[in-house]
Amino acid sequence: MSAPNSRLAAVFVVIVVVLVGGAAAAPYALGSGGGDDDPTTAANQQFQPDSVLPDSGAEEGEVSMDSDASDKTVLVDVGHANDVSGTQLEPLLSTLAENGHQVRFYRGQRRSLNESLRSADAFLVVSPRERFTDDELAGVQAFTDAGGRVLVMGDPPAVQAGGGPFFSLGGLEETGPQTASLGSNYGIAYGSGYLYNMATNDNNYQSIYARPAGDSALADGVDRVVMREAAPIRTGEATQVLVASEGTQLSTTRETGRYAVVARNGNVAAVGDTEFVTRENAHDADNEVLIGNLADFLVDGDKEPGAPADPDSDRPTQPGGGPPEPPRTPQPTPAPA
Amino acid sequence: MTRAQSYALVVAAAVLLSAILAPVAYDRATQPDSRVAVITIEGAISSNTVTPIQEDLREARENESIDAVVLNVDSPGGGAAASEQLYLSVQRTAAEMPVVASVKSAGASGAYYAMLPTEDIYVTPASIVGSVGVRGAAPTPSLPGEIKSGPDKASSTADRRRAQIETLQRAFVGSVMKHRGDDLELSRSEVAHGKVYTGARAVDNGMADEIGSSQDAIRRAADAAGLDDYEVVRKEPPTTGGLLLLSTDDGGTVVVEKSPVGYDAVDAPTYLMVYGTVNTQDEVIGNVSA
Repeated sequence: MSAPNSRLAAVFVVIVVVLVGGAAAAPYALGSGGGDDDPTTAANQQFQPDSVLPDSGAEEGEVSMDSDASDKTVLVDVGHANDVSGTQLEPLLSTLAENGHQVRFYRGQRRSLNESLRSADAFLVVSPRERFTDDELAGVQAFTDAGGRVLVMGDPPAVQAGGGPFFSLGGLEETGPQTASLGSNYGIAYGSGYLYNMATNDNNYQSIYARPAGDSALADGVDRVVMREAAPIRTGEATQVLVASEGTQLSTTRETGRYAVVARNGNVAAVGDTEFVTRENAHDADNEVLIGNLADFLVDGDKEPGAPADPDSDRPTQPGGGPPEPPRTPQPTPAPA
Repeated sequence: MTRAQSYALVVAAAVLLSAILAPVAYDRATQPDSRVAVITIEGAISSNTVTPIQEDLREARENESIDAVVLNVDSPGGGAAASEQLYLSVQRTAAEMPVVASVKSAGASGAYYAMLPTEDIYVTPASIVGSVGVRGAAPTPSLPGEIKSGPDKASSTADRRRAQIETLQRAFVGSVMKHRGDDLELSRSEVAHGKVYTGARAVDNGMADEIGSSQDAIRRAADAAGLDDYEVVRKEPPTTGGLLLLSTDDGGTVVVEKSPVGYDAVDAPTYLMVYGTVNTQDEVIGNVSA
C-alpha cells in the first residue's frame, strides 16, 4: 500500500515552504541584511568638497604703464641661447609697443651686442643659457653707466637632467641661467635652487607669493604677486624690492628666510622668475601691476646717446679677452612680437 | 510500492545525502573555524590591479570564517583614482574586522594611502613608507589639424591642473592626518613634503607602527580579532600578462602601457600617486620629494 498522494504532496509543499521561507527570513533573524552600505564612507570628511577644493584667486586687471616717456628703444636679448620666447614675454613687450616704444631683438648674428646696445635705451635679458663674453659685459657696464636700463630675469636651474630640452643634444649641459657674471657687476646674484612655500601658496608649493619689501617704484601699487618658479636673488649692494611671503623655504637648504625675488641696483633690476610675465600668469594677483612697473622702469632711464662707445674702432669687434665666440647656431629663436 | 519499500527508499536517500555532507561536517568540526586572510598588494596600483584586491577584501567581509585581514604590501603606489578606491575598500573592511598591514620593501604613495585605515603598519628596517603626494604630467599637445569641440576638450591649463592636483593632495594629506594624526610626530606640512622614510625612521615619527615580519603582522591581526586557533589563507592576485607600466613617451605624457583594458590607444593624462622617477618634461608635482 502506498502513501496517499495527497499526503506526499502536502509534505512536499510544507518542506519547500519551510526551507524557502526560512532562507528568506534568516537574514532578518540573523541581523546580517543589507549590502556594503556603511557609515565609514559618508564619514570621510577629508574628501568632501569643503575640505579639498582650493580657492583660485581672481584673474583681472590690465597691464598699464604710468611713464610719460616716449619712443624709447628696448633691446631684447635672444642671442645667448635664451630660454624664452617672444610669446612668453608678450604681455611685457606688447605693453611697451602699445605705449609707443620700440622693441628690437638682439640675435647675435650680424651685429655685436655692443653695437646693438648703442642705439638702445634699455636692455632686457631673460634666462641666457650662454655666457656673456668679457667684451659684452664691459659693454653692458658702459651702457648702464650711461643711464641705460637693464632688466634681468632668470629662473632656477632645470631640476631634471636628461629630461630637459638639451637631452636630444646628448650632453649633460648646464641648464641654469648664465646670469652670474652679468649680475655680479651690480651686486646681484641668483641663488641656487627654487623657492617654495608649503603653507601659503597659489595651489602649488612652488607658486609663491611675494610682497613689497620697502618703498620702491618697482613695487608701486603691488600688494602681492605670484611667482610660479622663482629663484632667490641675493643682494649685495642692491635693494630688495619684493620678498617672498613668510614661511618661504629654499629647495636646496630647506631653510625658511626672507628671500628677495625682485631687486634693484640703480639702473639694473633683477627678477627671479620668468613665468609670472606670461599671459597665463600675467593677471594673477597683482602680477599685471608688477609687469607695468617693469615696463616703466625700462623706459624711464635717461641714456646718453652712443653708449657704449666703441673703445677703439681700429680693432676688429671680435673680443680678445674671452674665449672665441662659437658660431651662433640657429637656436629656436622666437619671432619678434 | 509497499510501505517498506517507501521507507527503504527514504533511508537510502538520507544515507546518500549524509555521505556527501558528513565529510564537510567532519572538516568543519576538526578545523579551526577562524581564519586570517593575507591579501597581497604588489606592484603598481591601477584600476586593473585593484579590482581583484577589492574582490578579495569583499570576500573577507562576506565570508564569516574570516575574522582578520593582513595586507601584504609591496608597491610604490600608482594611479590616484585607483589608490583612493583601494583606500575605501580597506577602510570598509577595517570597519568590520581587524586589518593589519605588513610592508615588504615599499609601501609608498598610493600604497601608503591604502594602508592608512589599518590598525597597525608593520615595516622592516629597510622597507620604505611615505611619499604622500600627487603628480601629473602635462597633456600632449593636440595633433595638427585636430578639431576639438571646445577649448578644454583635449587639454587643460596649468592653473587648472595645479588646482586639481592640490585637490587630490588635500584629500590624501587629510586622510593621513585623519588616520595617523594622533601617532604622527610630523606636522601636516612635513607630511605634505612627500618624503619617504625607512622603517626605523617611520616607526620613530609615527608613519608606521612596528618593526616586524609579516608573521608578526598575522599574529597581531589574530590577537586583535581574539583568535587563539586560526588558519591563514593567502590571497594572491592573479598574474595576468597585462602588467601596468608607467612610462613616458616623447610628448612627456605618462601613459598606461600594456593595459589589458581599454587604454592602449589613448595617451590619457593621469594623476599619479607614485614614488620613483617618472621622466616627464613638464610635470606638476604635488610635493617636493616625490
